[in-house]
This record gives sequence, structure tokens and C-alpha cells, in this order.
Amino acid sequence: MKRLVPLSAIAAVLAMGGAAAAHHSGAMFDDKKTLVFENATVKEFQWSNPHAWLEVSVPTATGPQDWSLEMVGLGGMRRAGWKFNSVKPGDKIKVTVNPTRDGSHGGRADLVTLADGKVLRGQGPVRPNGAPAE
Amino acid sequence: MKFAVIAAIGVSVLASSAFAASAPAAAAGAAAAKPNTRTFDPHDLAGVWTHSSRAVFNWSLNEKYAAILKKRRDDEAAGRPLLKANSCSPAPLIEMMTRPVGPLEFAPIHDDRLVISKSNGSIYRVYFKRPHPAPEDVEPSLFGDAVGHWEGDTLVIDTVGLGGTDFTDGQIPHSPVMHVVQRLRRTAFDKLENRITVEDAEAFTRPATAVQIYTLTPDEELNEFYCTNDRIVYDSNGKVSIAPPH
Repeated sequence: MKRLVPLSAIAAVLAMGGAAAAHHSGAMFDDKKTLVFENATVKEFQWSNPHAWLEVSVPTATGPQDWSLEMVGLGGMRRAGWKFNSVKPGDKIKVTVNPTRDGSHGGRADLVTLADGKVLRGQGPVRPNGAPAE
Repeated sequence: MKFAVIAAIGVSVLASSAFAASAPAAAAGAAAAKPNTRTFDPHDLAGVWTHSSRAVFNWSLNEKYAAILKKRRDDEAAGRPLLKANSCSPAPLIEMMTRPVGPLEFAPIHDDRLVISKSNGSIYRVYFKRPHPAPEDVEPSLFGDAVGHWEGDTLVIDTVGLGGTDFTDGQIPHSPVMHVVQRLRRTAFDKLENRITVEDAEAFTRPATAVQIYTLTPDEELNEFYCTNDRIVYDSNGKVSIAPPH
């Protein structure tokens, strides 16, 4: 079979901020799919490293589903405006999610609209060039 | 309730010329900012420096290492990220110096050494009063053996022994003979330029280069980063999943 692209010398291509890295691999999440949880209830907010986590209960037609939502580490969280007490159990929030590829109730939280209407990014602040910080 | 589903498209960026710097928007922003004309000692690099951009390297792998990279990317796409890219390990040298995730703290100790650290546990020590050990005596490690000297106003840091891991800034593979030269120069009171050259006779067809710019952020305090809640689990096939909350 004729090889279309020679392997002898290849310039590597890196997605801006997207390559797997020592502290933040997103391989398990489907970047091409976004779910929107309109009326999720916070069960727990884990303010921790290497990732902060939002545990939420999401109402569905077949009953509530528990979802584990990954966010960035605390450095990125702080720079994005989060505090350890930004949300608390019982808060109603809206969150956009890139779900796991395997269909489990997990995902990467992107935009989180808090109970008071404030919108925070779960993946760190957006950099001036448009790429996410982490 | 049906979840709203929105399609998104990922974008890849191709690195091209040597010493490629940050994205055009960031460069334009930096250019538009008023330069800081405060005087400074060019040999004083102490302080907290934050990446103003992310350096883009012009990697050129030989056939063997290009195949390794392809496998890593295929595995990543299949949900099996590079196992050694553990979220709780300190970022290795190139990633530490070029990935804009948390600032760097430069702490010189007299004229003997410079300690550069980052919140994620990366600690990189540069020694000024000794050369590298003989090659056969250089112990492979995450940050290697680093020695530095001044050439005018430029601090030249030479690092060998980078055999503690085999990826540079996330996926790019390298061999234990990788050699990194960083040329750091304070170009303004609040700007530090790092011109980086990476050689690897066993993995690259030519040296890779990039320029990283840092901005002085004196009020920044590094926070601790200890993995007290690592819920990312790898199975025996390298497949990754999320551990339950408790």
C-alpha cells in the first residue's frame, strides 16, 4: 500500500492547549458533544487537586441521575473566579458538559451558571488568544 | 428531560517556522500594552514570572519517534491517554517552562544556584559553580542536571540527563539524550524572554526551537498543589474512568 505521508520527518501538530499533558488529560471526554443540564442540584463541591469536582443530581424523565463533573485544578479555578464556597449542596445550577465517551454519568464541566446568575468557567479562564488556560 | 446536545468542532494548529512564539492575538495584545520603562538589573531574575503565552516548538521527529507519537495520539483518541501523563506528577522541564498553567517562582540562592519552582511540584535547580558531571555519571531524572552561566545579560542554562520521563510537553516523545539549552534574558522590568533549543540525536531530525515570554507578577502567590483527591483511574488496558465520589 502506498504511504501517502512519509514518516521520515514529521512536524508534529499540537492542538492549542489540548494535547494530553502531565496534569490534565481530557481523553475520556467527548469534545464534540455538549450536554446542558438546566436545573441540576449540587450534591457536593469537591475543592481539591488535581481537579475540582461538582457532584450534581440531574432531573430526567426516568428519575434523577447523579453526575460527576470534572473541573480544572485549584489554580485555574481561582483564576476563573471560583472560591471554595462558590456553590453548596442544594444549589440549583445550570451547567454545560462534555460527557464521557463511555456513556457513564461523568463529564467535564464547562460553563456553570450559579444560583445567583453568575457564570463561571469550569475549565479555567479563557486566555486573551481565545484558548482555555488549562 | 432530554439533554440539549450541541456539536462542537476541535481545531488543530500547525507549528511552522523556527522560534515560533505565541498566537497572533496574544502577540498583538502584548505589543499594544504600554512597555514598562522602569530600570532593572538584568542579572536579577528573582520573582514570580507568569507565562504570557505558550511557546510553540517546531518539532521534527525521525521515523521511529514519529511512530511513537502517532501511537500516543491514537491511544488518546481511543480513550487511553499516555499513562505516564499522570495528573499528579510534576510537569517535566519543557512543559514546566512553557505551559501556561501556574506561574514560575525564580529564587536565586546567592550566586551558587537558582531554584525555579511551580505549584504543581516542579522544582528545577540550576547550578552556577560546577560543570555537568561526566556523561556516564549523569543520573537520569525528571529535571536532569542543569548548569548555568551568564553571557552578558543572558543566562544560559544547559540541561542534560532528562531521562526521568519520555515526553516533552505532553506527548512529544524524546530519548534520554535530549539536551535543552535555555537562554533567558530580561528584556524589560517586567518581561523575561526564554529562547529554548531542544536537541535529541536519537529522536529528532533537527533541533527544535521556541521562544517563551514571561511577565513579572510580583503579587502572585504560588498555591499548593497536592493531589488529595485524584479520581482519574486507569485500568490494566490504559482505559481511563472517573472513580466514584466516595
